[in-house]
Amino acid sequence: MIEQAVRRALLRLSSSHVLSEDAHLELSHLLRILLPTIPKHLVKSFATPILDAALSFKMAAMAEPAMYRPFWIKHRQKYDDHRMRIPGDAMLDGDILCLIPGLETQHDQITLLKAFVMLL
Amino acid sequence: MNWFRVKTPIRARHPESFVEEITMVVLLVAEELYTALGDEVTREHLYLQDVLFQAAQVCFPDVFYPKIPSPGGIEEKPQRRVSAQFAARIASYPEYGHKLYSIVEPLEWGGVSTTEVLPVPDSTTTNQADSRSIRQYLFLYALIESHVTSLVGFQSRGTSLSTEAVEEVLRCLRHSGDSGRDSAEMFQKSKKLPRLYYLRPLQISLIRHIIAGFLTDRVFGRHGLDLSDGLVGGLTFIENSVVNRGKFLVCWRD
Repeated sequence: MIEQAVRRALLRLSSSHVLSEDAHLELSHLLRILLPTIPKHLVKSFATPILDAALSFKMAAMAEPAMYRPFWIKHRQKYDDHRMRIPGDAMLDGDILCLIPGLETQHDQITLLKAFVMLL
Repeated sequence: MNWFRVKTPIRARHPESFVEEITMVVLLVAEELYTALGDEVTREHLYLQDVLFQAAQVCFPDVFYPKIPSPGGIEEKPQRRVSAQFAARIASYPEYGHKLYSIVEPLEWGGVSTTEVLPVPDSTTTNQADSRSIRQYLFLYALIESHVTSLVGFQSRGTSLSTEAVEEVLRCLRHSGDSGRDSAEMFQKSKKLPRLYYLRPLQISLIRHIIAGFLTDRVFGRHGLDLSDGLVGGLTFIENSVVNRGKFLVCWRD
């Protein structure tokens, strides 16, 4: 309970004055490079709901008794059926491209959702 | 810092919120101390985490100080004694102690059970909460996939990334955090970025990957959301101390 209170305090502190122009600007900047022919207003209309949805999830996850956190799969990691899933019958060899990070409990690291990856 | 802005909402809230508020105050003070003292902040941090721990003791007395039945069957109520210790302790801290004292002094101490204000959820509510969070998580990534697919559809096929754009993407990734650095390393070594971008299905996957990494680093990271290094350091110290000592005391009680 205390740990959650500390985390929620941090989140409130963060969201009240940081979540922020910086995050919106950086995501928009990244998308404008990746999608150079897309009008700016479309890029902006993409970034805002994504960040809002991400923040909503984070607040909900931090309020859980077990607290959840997403886990990232690095490109050199070996394929692990318990923590990752891939589309179709891919060869289990090559660099990993993580498309959806997995979800696990904070302390005991029980996997709730496998990461969705593809192999290059 | 506007101390009165923090003080007002505390009075109306229950102890859980009080811990949040006091944590916010401690964090803000920690950041100020980091700015002012730089590396010489360790001793001050000990004070800060102690203040927070004491606050937790007052807010959750039945966890930290379980009631002990006396021979006559009447339970002792140590909360008032704890609150006096707490008040005296924080008032003794130089510089910021009197400010903290002015915040907590009007509160009604003790007499509130943890289970009264923070009921332990039964298995049904836990499962409901679990599925709600997971649904939110899946919704987020479904949203990303549909939006990226839609946006990429606006681009003409065969669009390629310029050398400058590739460099800028790599620079942004390196700057983003651990996940971004890992991706940048892969793209740098394999030179796969331009080829992935050129083919539309792979371009969608590539952009989804980059956005997922951005969120992992900048929103979902341990202390994401653009917090300063000082604030992150202060929080980590306080959180670890509270969690470790709290666990120790709960175990000791059992």
